[in-house]
Order: sequence, then structure tokens, then C-alpha cells
Amino acid sequence: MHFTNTRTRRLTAVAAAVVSTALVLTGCAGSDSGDTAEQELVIGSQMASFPSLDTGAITTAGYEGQRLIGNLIYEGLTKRDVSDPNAPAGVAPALAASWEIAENDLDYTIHLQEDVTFHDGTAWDADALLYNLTRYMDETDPNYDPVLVTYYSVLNFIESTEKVDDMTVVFHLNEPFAFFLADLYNVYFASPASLEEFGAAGQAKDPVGTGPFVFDSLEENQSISFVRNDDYWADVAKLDRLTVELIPDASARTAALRSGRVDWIESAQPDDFASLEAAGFVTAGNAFDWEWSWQLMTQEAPLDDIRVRQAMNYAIDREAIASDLLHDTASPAYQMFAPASLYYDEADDIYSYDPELASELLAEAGYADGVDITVGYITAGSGSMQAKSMNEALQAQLAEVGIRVTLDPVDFSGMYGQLGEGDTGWNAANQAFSLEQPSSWNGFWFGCDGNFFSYCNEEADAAYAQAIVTTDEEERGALLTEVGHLVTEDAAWLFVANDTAPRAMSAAVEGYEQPKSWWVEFTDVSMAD
Amino acid sequence: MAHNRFLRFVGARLLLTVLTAFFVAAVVFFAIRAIPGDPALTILGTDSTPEERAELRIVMGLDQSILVQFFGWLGRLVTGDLGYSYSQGRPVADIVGPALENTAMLGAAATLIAVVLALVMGNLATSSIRWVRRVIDWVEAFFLSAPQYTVALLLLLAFAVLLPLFPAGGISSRGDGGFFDVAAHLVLPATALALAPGAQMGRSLKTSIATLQSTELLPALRARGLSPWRLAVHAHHNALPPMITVLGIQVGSMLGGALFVENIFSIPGLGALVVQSVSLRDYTLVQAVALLIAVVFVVVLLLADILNALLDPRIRVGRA
Repeated sequence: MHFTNTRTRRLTAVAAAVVSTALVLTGCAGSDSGDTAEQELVIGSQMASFPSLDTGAITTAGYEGQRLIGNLIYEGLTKRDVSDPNAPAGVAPALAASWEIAENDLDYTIHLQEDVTFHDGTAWDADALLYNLTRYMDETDPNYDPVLVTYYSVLNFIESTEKVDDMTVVFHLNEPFAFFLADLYNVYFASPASLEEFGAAGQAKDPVGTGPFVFDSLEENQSISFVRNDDYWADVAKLDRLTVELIPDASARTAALRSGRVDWIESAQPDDFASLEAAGFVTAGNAFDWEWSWQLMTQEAPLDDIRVRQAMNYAIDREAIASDLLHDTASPAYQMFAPASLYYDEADDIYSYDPELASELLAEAGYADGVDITVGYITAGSGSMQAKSMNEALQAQLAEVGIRVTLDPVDFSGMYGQLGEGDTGWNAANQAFSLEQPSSWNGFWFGCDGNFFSYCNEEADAAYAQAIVTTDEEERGALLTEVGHLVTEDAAWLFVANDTAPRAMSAAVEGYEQPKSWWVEFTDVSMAD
Repeated sequence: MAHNRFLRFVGARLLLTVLTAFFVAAVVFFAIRAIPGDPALTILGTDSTPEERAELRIVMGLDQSILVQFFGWLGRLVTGDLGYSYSQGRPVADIVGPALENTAMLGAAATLIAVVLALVMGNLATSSIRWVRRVIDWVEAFFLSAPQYTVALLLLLAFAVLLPLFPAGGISSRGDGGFFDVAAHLVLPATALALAPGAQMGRSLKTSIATLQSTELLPALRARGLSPWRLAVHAHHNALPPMITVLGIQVGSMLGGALFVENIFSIPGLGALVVQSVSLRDYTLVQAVALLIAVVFVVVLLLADILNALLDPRIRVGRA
């Protein structure tokens, strides 16, 4: 069998040569990268794909899309105020410099920001504003897009718009709406000249706004790149370039940061924090208005009994989940509002870890021998945090007091598809969302006109309805705080945790302080050499 | 005559390809609509109103009956129109085109690596040295059973993070995209994808060579004075058809594996697109991608058959 050996040896040699040549060639080519002195920040995003870049369509990509794309290119009349990282984010002026609200709560006089130009040099003025509004609302406009306008339900409150002078506009609302200014934050304005010439399709590929960064290039399904807007009307950014790469897989994002492919990752995994810090990376997080909770089906046994709902809230050890399981990338939630919410009141932090009280309440409700419930939860996706392990921890903790939980994992679309059809077979559904836009609460999370969880509290409903039309900020805040108080007392949800939006970045990233918001401003961020 | 038969064989297989693709398209069309989920809600978000969602469903044509939707889709498909993706706000063709290109590159690289791997392993597995055979058996079992997801992560950790020889993901560097740049990006994901198919083909090669070794053919050829190199060529010619068949089938497993590997290495290919479009319930996109994957798979099988027919006259004339 001598020939076999000879043949084997030869073939092996050939194969080895092929493989090693390929490795050497590609390895060498892979290691050289451009070393310009340009200040570039590369962000690894968990977005799976890029939205259309035409103004409102960017909201399809959620908060991350708005944070990393929309707010860089475009601006609205208002924005989230994240100037103080220790305060809840309120409303700040953006393309509107100031405003007055008439006594009737219907007429909003808006004074536009002076000396603002779009990236193509077009001036920002009343005409530009009106051009965009017509484009959004007038079905006969050549650039009207029926999908786009569904993102901007706030515009439905506008009865008519009036141009006073070049820099002043009055909105007449059809009914009082206290969140008009707040909700205008993502109604973006695009350059009329660019829309005129290239239409909506042009905007989708080559967006032209007024924002701090100018769109540069997009590599389909891979990365999007922006360069600094040197003519920005407010503080000009320090970075020359900002690039966002799509890395939907969490482990891959961590690897990308470690290998230097990116400088910053969104949604870092809590389990990676310690090792990333040990390797010299910087982690960031700040509890924001993100409630990770179970919405309880309050019309059906056993959760129609407030004692059972309260028992659940007393039975869980939130601190253990936040610190042990999530390594402090979340903070425990004891009520409806997060401390980062404008409507939070510390006095409503009423649920503590008290398994004995929980058992007592259960026994009182007639469930001394325990009770079975089924809970649907979203397995993964933006904002769902560590859904599986968190739900399993809750399952174990609730079992201690006799509440036996069956978990039913679904994906995001499945969750809302099932909730929409109403026949879920669940007693509760785990979801994570922000309460920062009160105009959207009704009908979804609670409200007596019907909602997914059939939760109705007449008193809370009345306070909410009043808040929606109360223009005075303080009065409105008090009403919404009252809503939170009532819902918390009712134990309508199982309050678990608030997310801190954990991020990790290279030590070279400077000037970043995480606000109490999903919104991030990149103006002060720079890269050390 | 033989030529004619060959054409008829190819024609019949092409017809089968079209039928298979149609069948897959139909199944996917109805299956994706059977799972719970509201495309309008995934696009508009949980803070949208029921009226807004109903409006968007009308825009997307989802208010029509399912049969109207199906034949509408089929009709547009025949004219080459894959439809419009509302979750991404652009025509489906604009999305699947680049994705197909990336997956094709990944698949080609993986196939190349798998073939090299198969040749090396198949030959070493029939070595006369006992410990070499043992080691190869062990390696083969490992390659066949290691999940692609884990292999991909380990390769990423080992050769992009700890020992940064290769890029940690993506299909090319920004602003580059030359041959060597893309090749460097493909080494790790293609390797992760190639291990199992490579080992499977290696096994087929091993069996063929072992069978051949038990016959008188090779000693006879050697006795006629053929060089060892010529002998190897003869041995491999006989082993080739089964290997190609195995490769064709393994392309299916590669397409499945691409689902994980593309996600881990953030390669914007068909696998990543499937995951993403299903989770968004973007029906038109899911349909297009599934159809494309089915077509690719069937076409690869067809190519394997044609190649086999060209290599083996017995298949060509239908006497095998």
C-alpha cells in the first residue's frame, strides 16, 4: 500500500499550501486599515436593518433609529431636554426657539429658530415649515405618503396653520392637547428644495435636514455614515464622522467592541460588563423611563382579585434581579413610574419584598394552596432586556409563595398579534416600554375604553383625560402622578425593573455622560488618540 | 440520441425546479400569515392607535381576502415584481439583491473550504497509519456534530478577538470592498459554515477510496506503470459523483447554517434577512427570501445532477 502514503502526502501538501496561502493573503489584507487623523466614532447598533431615511419612516427603527439616525440628520420643533444627566428629560426648544400658548389652549404661536439652514443651504423659515406640513397632511401633495403620516398622529390635532411672518407661525388646534409640543419632537423637517427636486424617494436615500450631522453614505444592511455639520446653528459637534454598524447579535456586538471594529456598543449584555471593564472598556448606564413589567389581566380570575395582584408584587425580590441577575444594569421598580419619569413620586414606592405578607394576602383571597397562572413574554428584541432569565427568576420567586407560573415565550409580533385577537390564554403579559409619551398610554396599557389587559380604573381614567387637555405643566404633572398612584395601588402590573440602557465603549471615547433618557446627544463626544 | 436524452433530463429537472419553487412559495405565503402577528403594529409600534394600524393595513393591501392577496402576489411575481417592503420602505428587489450576492459569496467561499477539507480528510482517513485514521475519525465526528452557532462564536472569539487575524464581522470594510478585503471578511464565517459539509463530503470520499482499495483496480493500474499521481486522479474520479451529490445536499444545510453564521458575523445576507423579516412579519419580504432560498437550493441540486451526468455517462443515458 505504498502508493497511498505517497498520494496522501502529496495531496496533503497541496491542500496545506492552498489553505496557508489563502490565510496569509487574506490575513495580511485584513490587518491594514486606513489611519487618517479623522475623528471617527463607530457605533455597533442592535438594529437589524436600516429604515427608509425619509423623516418619519425612521421611527420604524424605534428609539434606536431615532437616536442614531433621525436625530443626527433631522430636527423637530422641539426635542427632549437631556442637558442635565441627573434630571428627567423634559421638552426643550429645537427648530422652534420659543412659543406662546393662548388662553383658549388652542392657539400655539411658534417663533422659529433664527439662522438655521438645511444641509443643502436652503433657509429654515415659515415657508419651509409649511412646505413640510403640507407634504405630511395634504393628500394631493406630490410627496404625500400615507404610511409616513401614520407615524405623526400629533398632526391630527392641527386644524389650520397660519404664517404670521417669515419666522413666526401659529398652529390652531381642533381640540386642546397638552402634549402637542412634546409630541412634535420627532416630526422632522426636510429641505423643501431637496423634496422639490428629488421627491420623497430622494429623501429616503439621501436625506437633507438641519441636524448636527450630515448624511454621508449608506452601505445596504451594513453601515450608515454621517459627517459633522460645520454650519450647525447650535454647538457644532467635535466628531468629524459618526458611523453606525448593524450588529443585531449581542455576542457579536461584544466581540466587535473587543476587536476594535467598533468603539461603542448599544445594549451591552449585563453578563459581559465585568470582563469588558477588566479589559479596559468603559461601561455606561443611567436608569431611564423604561418600565419592564407584567401587565396583569385584571378582569379574569385569579388576577381580578386585587389581593392576588398585590401578593405578586410583594412576593418578588426586585433588588436581587437588578443587582445579582442584571449586575446593576437595571434598577428595581416599585411603582408604575420610573424615578427618571417627570411624573414619579417617591411616596408611591409602596411594594417591598415581603413574602410573608404575600402569603397572607393569597390566603385571604382563598388561594392558600397556591394558584396557577400563565404569562406570555417577548423573548428578545429592543428593550426586552434579559427577558428569559428575568422571567425565570420571577417564576422561581413567585413559586416560593405558591404562585405557579407557566411561561409562554413569543416574539414581538406574536405578542401583539395575540393580544390584538384577545384570545391569549394568558393571565399576564410581560412587556417593556416607555411612559414618556403620555398621549399614547390610553387604549394600550390602560383606559376604560378598552385595552389589551381590560384594566379599568375610573378615577385614573378621569385624571388622565383631564391631564391630556391641561396645558399648565405643573397641574398636568400632578394629574399624571395621581394616575400612577392609582395604578400602583391597584397593582395593575407586576412592577419589576427600569432599564439603564447599558452601553459599553472604548476608553478613547470622551465627553459622554449618559442621560436619564433613551435620547443621546453626540455634540460633546470626541475620540482621544 | 444520448445528447437528446440529456437535454430532456435537464428540461424535466428544470420543470421540477419551477414546480418546487411554486410549492414552497405557496406554503410560505400561507404559513407566514397563519402565525400570529400584526405587520402594521410592528411597523407603527405599540404606541399607535387601532385606527392608524387599520389604515396602514389597507395601504399594505392586507384588508383583502387571502386568496386575492395570493393571486395578486403571484401575478406580480410572474412579471418579475417582488413587491414592496413596508418595514424597510423600499422595493423588495432592492433588499434581496445585495443579500443574495453576499450569501452567494459566503456560500462559494464555504464550498471551496469544504471541498479542500473533504479532500484532506477523505485521504487522511484512508491512510495506512492507524493513529492518523483515528485522529481523523475523531475530527470528523467533531466537525459533524459541532453546532454552527457555537463554532462561529468560537472562531470569532479565537481569531478576531484574542488573536485578531481577521475582521470581527461585516462583509467588507467601509470604503473598501476589494477582493482581498472581502476574502478576509469571509474566512471565519465560511469556515464555520464549511466544517460539517466538508466532513460529510470527506466521509463520502473515504468510503469511495476504501471501496476502491478493496478492489484490484489500483494494483492493476499500478502494475501497468501509472505514476502515483495518475493513480490518485483515477481514484478521485470514481469518488467524485457521490461527493458532488453530497455537496449539493449540503448546500441546504449551509443555507440553514447561514441563518446563524450571518447573524453572528453581521453579514447582510439571505439568512440574516429571513430572521429579520419574519420577526417583523414583513410578509412580502419573507415570501421573496423564502422563494429565493428555495430556488437557490433546487438550482444547486440541479447543477449537481448535471455535473454528475457529465462526469458519469451511465447517469446521462439513464442506465444507472
